Amino acid sequence: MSRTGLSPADDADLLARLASGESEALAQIYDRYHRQVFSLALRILGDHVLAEDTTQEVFLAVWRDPTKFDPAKGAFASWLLSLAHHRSVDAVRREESQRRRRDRLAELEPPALTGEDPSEKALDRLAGADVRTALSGLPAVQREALALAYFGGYTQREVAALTGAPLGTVKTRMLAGMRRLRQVLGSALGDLPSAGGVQA
Amino acid sequence: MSALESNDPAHAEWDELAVGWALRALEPDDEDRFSGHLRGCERCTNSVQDSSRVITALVEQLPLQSPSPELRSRLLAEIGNTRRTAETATPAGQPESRLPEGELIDFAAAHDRSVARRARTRQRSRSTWTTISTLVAAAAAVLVIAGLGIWNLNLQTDRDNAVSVAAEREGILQDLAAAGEVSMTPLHDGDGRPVATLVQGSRQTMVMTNGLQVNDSQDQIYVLWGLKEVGEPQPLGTFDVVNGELDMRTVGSTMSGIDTFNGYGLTLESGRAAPETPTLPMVASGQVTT
Repeated sequence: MSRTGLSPADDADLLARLASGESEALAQIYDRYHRQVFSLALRILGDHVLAEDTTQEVFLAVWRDPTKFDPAKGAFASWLLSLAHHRSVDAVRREESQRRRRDRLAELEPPALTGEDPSEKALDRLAGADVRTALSGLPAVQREALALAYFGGYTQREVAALTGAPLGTVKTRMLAGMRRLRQVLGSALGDLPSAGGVQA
Repeated sequence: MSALESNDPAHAEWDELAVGWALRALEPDDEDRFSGHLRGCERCTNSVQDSSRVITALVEQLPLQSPSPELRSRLLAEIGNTRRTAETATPAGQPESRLPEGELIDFAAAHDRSVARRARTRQRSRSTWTTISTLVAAAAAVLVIAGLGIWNLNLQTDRDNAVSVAAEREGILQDLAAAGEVSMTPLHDGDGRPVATLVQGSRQTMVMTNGLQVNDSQDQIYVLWGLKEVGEPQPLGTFDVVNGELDMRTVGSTMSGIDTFNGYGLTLESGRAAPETPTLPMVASGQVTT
């Protein structure tokens, strides 16, 4: 992960120790990545307690079976964030989250009246020039569709309901937006391998 | 040009689903369709990976926030109560050969998707779950008797596994329900371990595998043989094993007369068609009991 300033070799060493059952290795991995994991969970769940629970689930999953990370397919940090996203989306969709979800839905519905863009809420605090440039270059409807799906945890059909667009249009917007981001971020992404497989 | 960027009108729908998959935003029906497609589509595999790289770049730019300091101590206390999998014995960085989805998917494994989808389907369709649940007790009992022992779970120490296996069980039971009344024949490997169960229904015949080696779907195929006290084994059907863990495969050939045998066996043959007689030793076999 770029903001840790640590190399994949550091992660590999920790994971090797983790595989041998060394709990201190998990503590060090937690110290290294817990803020990224928690921030993503909080972004999606919008609830501090749920985000902490999800963060704990993520690191316990790593503890249970660190071999689910495949280093041939990307950096550990990318895999960990993928895992955090999956757990967070699952959590937000679980029954106990439905009340908060309805509340959030209600918050997101007024944009048509207030003129606010819900995707801006999700993305306006992003840092990083490359990413900000890439996002700012997206048509608003594409940015909105991607943000609601990834950071909102909404399915494509739910995004369609939220935005009033046909489902097919939402799918097309997501693909077009992702293609645009891939083009703009191409050099920044480089030739690094993709995130590894997640089996949460 | 990446797979994500290249246009192919004939593949446009799959391209859209690949992005939705990476975002974890597909509806259950789309997820089901795409999961099956993804296994054999290099373009979609690359598209999912490309999307994941973009998403990771976005996520890494989120402003950082910190959980409460107590979370660290809670986590470290919890690991003492958390069972670790047998796979953990493998050194990190050298993962054992696992499910095909581990090779295909960077953002979520098909197994994980399938479980999540089934879990969501269960939440959305209580009536379906009620119907299926009536099958659970009887079918699970049959399977345990059959010797697979796959339903044993430590619910206290591994809640996630419990949820996953329960959902997986539901999916398999849905397949069983579709088969109507069924009879089962457990198949054991040379060491006596139960690795498969032949499930014969009124409308279809399936093999439930649990630990059989994943075959090369280009150059190998599993063959189901009917065994009699006298005479050569008779090929009854073929199937692929795509999941080294619990899975249900429909046997894809004419099954007339399948209930006339004393037992059944499996071989893993070279090529993609069943030979007239087995060319390799049986990898599993079992006798019919009444």
